[in-house]
Amino acid sequence: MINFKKLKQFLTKNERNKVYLRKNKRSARLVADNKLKTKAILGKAGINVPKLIIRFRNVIELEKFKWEALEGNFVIKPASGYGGEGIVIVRRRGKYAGEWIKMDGTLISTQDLVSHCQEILAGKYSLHNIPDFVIVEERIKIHPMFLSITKAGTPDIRVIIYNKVPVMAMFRIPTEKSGGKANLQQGAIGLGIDLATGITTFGIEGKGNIIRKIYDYGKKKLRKVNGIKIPMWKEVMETSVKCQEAMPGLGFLGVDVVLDKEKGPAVLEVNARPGLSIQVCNRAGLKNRMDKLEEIEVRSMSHAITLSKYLFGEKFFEKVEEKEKVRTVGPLETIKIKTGKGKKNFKEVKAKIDTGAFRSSIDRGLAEELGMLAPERILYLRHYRSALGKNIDRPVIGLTFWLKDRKIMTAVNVADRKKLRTKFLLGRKDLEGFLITAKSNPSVLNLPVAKRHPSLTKEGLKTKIKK
Amino acid sequence: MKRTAYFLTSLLTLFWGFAKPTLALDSWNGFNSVKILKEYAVLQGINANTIAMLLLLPVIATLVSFLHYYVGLTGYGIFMPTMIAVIFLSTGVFGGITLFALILGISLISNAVLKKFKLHFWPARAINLVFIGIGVVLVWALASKYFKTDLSNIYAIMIMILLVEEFVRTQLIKSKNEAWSLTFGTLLLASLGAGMMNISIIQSWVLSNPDITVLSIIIANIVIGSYRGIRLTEIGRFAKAIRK
Repeated sequence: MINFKKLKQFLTKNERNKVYLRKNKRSARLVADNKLKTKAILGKAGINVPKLIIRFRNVIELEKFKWEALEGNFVIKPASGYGGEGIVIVRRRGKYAGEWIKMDGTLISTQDLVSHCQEILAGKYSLHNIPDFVIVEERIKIHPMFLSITKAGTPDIRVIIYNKVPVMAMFRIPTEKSGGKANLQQGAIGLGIDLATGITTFGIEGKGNIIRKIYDYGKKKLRKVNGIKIPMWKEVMETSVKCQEAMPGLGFLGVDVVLDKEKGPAVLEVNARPGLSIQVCNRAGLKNRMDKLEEIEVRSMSHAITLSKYLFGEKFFEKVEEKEKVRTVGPLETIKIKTGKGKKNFKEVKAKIDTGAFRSSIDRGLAEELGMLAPERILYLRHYRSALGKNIDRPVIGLTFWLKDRKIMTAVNVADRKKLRTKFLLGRKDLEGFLITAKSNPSVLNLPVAKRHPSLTKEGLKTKIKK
Repeated sequence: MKRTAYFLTSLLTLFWGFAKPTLALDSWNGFNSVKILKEYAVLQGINANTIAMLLLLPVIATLVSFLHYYVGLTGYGIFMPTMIAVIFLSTGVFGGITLFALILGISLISNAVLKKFKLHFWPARAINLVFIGIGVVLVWALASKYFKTDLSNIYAIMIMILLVEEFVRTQLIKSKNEAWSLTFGTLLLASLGAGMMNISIIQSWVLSNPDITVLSIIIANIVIGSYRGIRLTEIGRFAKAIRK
């Protein structure tokens, strides 16, 4: 049966149109819809974009252009097209003059290219068929890591950004069905990407057909959808956030990024109306994630990326499909908190399990000692009602720790645990996948026990009563 | 917003008490303005059916709207399905779809033939109209020999040409799949609209209570227009995406 409560995590088309698209100012939307303007603005902000070879604003400019000057590796697109329409990708020159070879291997003549440009200028691919401009830009060559995954076109990465923070990402692979376009609606493949690591998780084909394997042309067999590591992932995230910074009028947008082996990520386009299939291939809802960001004020790009990693990172990204061995934890366990890069930098801390708490807590003193209370580590402040009924604001920091050899990247509360037995409290959020037993691990039992006042011990009470 | 809807609905119930009894032309009490207008128009010689049709148009459009935002059925906008629903009333759903299939078939053949000439888009379409004209007359003449059909509704032919035009353009610019699904959606919505209009109870009710109809249409669309929830077609799509 369908769990309707769980359906609420997803952003529906109605809500997207009514609420979230309004977060984009009209002026910014017009820029995002026009690829030429987008290129100009992003270029000015120092963001890598495919180089513009030439643009045609009218037939005169088109006629003046000498196509023979090009060597190949160019893409013709309408400035206002969307959904990958009207795009012609030319790989190289054909055997004879006036002939070119397209990305899918077929031949096209210079006359055909000119006709195509004329059609674009006449507005064939623009909204309401308004006359449009033609963009001819350099073709970004497919990253060698992806050569084995697709033969049809250049795959790209779409990152959805809300409130300046990346909330979800997917890796789009063009197929023959999609005509070489990385557009899910046309039949391309979409793989969800874990925002923390850049590793793919789940896959869909088209708008909603779940796939578990894709064909690997290198190894000539099917491989699992999960586990492809996107190279330069950190740079991809940074580039997307920079795009939003360059176009601050957009509060909810999708950035399409392509990886150039030498130059790093390049932004193909910015989409002011991103689609909703990204939720299906990530098996997660946008609404839930965006709700978490509502109250947070994002301070900087690194803050945004840290938030994204710790709030939305997958917990066990490597083990997404695998049936896991159930690990048990007792009421008290030892955890290793990561203090620096590398496996050697960690601190062992005794932690108490508290299923009554949602989020884990770390003692303020311990956090300070580990250098985790620096302003850039604090994600945000959270209004809290403690067990004693006090209303306080606790900072939430992101941290990584190992529990029973399982790596957990999460956001934890910073609380005053000075007077408590353990400096770390494990909440439900980070106990997913563990089985909790009442029996304690004997090695952890050596905890200092609070000493009772002599008058309150058994002997002391006896003497009191005797009086 | 919900409060506004409830308030307006209760107003509507009040109107019902006033507008229900049939009134003579003279007694205008503010709440039956549309009815008075209709009676006046009829007295002046305007066809009552046309007036009824004009009132029914927004009703169908509301139905199409509802099906789009609550169920997720999509077609080419909202007016295409509504116009085609009206056409279906005169040709019948089956007759209308047959006409569409005929014009689509002719268009596809003419497109295949003209492709070799590599003409510009609009002149190719104009030549296509020649084929359609000849084709329709031919089939009509042949069909009239064996069946008693009335394809003389020129408006039906024109609107079907419009739909086929949209189909061809979508197929060219986007994809074949999208063209088919939008066209099928439009025809489905039109069929549902025509079916609803055909229910005689609805027809007579709208005719005798035009004011309530107008108010209900407005309220219904305000409610539909504020709907933020999930569409029926989306439930299946997202249900697959829930993690266990």
